[in-house]
Amino acid sequence: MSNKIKPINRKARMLATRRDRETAYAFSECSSVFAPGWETGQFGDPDPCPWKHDLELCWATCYWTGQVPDMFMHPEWLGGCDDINSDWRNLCTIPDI
Amino acid sequence: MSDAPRLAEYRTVEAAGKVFLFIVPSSALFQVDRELADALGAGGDPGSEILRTRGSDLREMGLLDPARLADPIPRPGQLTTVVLNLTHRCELRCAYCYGQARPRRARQYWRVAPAGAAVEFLFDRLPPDGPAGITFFGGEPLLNMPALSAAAERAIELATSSGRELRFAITTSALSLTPEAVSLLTALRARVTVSIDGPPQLHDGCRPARDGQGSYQRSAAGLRLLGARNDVTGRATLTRLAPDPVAVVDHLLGLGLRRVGVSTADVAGELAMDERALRLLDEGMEALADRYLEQAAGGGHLPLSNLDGLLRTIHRGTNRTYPCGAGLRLAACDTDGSLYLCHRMLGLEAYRTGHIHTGFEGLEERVSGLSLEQRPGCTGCWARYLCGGGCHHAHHVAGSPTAELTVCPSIRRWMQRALEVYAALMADHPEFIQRFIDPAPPSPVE
Repeated sequence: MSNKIKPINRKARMLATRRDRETAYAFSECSSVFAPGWETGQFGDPDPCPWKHDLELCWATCYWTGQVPDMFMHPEWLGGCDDINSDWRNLCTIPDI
Repeated sequence: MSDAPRLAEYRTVEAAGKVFLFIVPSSALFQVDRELADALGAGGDPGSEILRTRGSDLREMGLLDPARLADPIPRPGQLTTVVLNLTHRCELRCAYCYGQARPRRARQYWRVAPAGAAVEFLFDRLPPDGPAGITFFGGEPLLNMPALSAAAERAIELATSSGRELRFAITTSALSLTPEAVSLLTALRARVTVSIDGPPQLHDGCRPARDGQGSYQRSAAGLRLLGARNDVTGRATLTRLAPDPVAVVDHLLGLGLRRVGVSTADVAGELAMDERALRLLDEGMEALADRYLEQAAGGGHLPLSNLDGLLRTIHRGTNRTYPCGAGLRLAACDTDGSLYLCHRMLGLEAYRTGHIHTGFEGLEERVSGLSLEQRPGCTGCWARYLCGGGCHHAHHVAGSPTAELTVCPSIRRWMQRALEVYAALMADHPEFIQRFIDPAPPSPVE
């Protein structure tokens, strides 16, 4: 956050402390085995996963690729999730086989 | 995914020579530089230049993320407070009383046993932690002291055995206050709300006794019995005939009350606020806000509960889906043990939610139908998440639950003014907020 804006009430301070980062989530913030770490919602961030790109990284960079669909086999698995905030329910569309 | 960012709703607030943005979907308040505020203009799509140079700031404030950050909604019926209607009887015949619209009931007094049963009903439904609230209401609750005492005794027993904190509250005209009643309320550490409408001629105009005589002198005598206490609030009802809050607040403070509040009458007909009355209300509230700010700057505190409460809401960044805890955390119990959404709905079959002996019936469905999403009149109102959609009873009286209320423009204006007061205090006197707004007293039922 630049020094030109300043959180005033509690909700603003909450937003400021939880979103004070240039990239959505840093690798180092993830657990020791997961990347990029969209599980970081554990700190109570009400919107831990605002960017579609994060989920693609979960396949491309995470050590535990099983947590998201294989993007070779299912390249369109995020196709129904243009806006993660409203479309996250569409994530569960890959048959669990 | 569309690449064009959507700018979340926001409201510009000017105060103390500075500019602030109130972010509607989150209720967050940020101070911003004037350059950014000017560049954003009146909202809509941000220009590409401001996105390039200040995109990070916009994102940090949530302006590029229209998702709502709502407060969690409590599970309906997991109660923290029960309002006990101890009797429908009252010494007064107030012109704006919503109780007079209720069906007349055969059993006016509450026997002792159901009072205890209602308290048990509450204790069976409390969340794992936190205090239990018992509010005595009526009619005039002091006209049924046996039931009041029995309910209090049972609550103390249950609180003692379960290690709960108890919070008693009572709303009264103070006409029937006796030294014994004052002693009991003091022992219970009850928060007392006294309904008194201001100077004698204003008060007596709307609050005659059953015999037609004015009730001011007797209410004032009751107040004197209570003495100057921090836990006593004076509450005045404003009507079309007397809409100016300034004289009323001044009078109540002059009576020694250390906390005062005003509210418009929930009534249709000749006492309902009209355009002229709402203008006088707005001007009066504006004057009180100015005085509040002046006193705060001098280290003082104008104990106006309307503004204290709203500043607390803004300070927390409250983001509501419901206007109050009715049906969620609060239930009202009538003299026959019937449960209602809240104390204002007693006797209205459409808002009956069960019985203390058989439990809640259809509560979740009833409550979900009253959420902000079910009020199309609120769509587009910038203040909707601070307000929560307006009093359910006010919507009932208005007869159109989905429309905007007559008083809504005044509420919006008041909320804008409260944002300005809050921003000014945080800029110049943050110690005031820390001292008077941060510690939250429980609100008595009005």
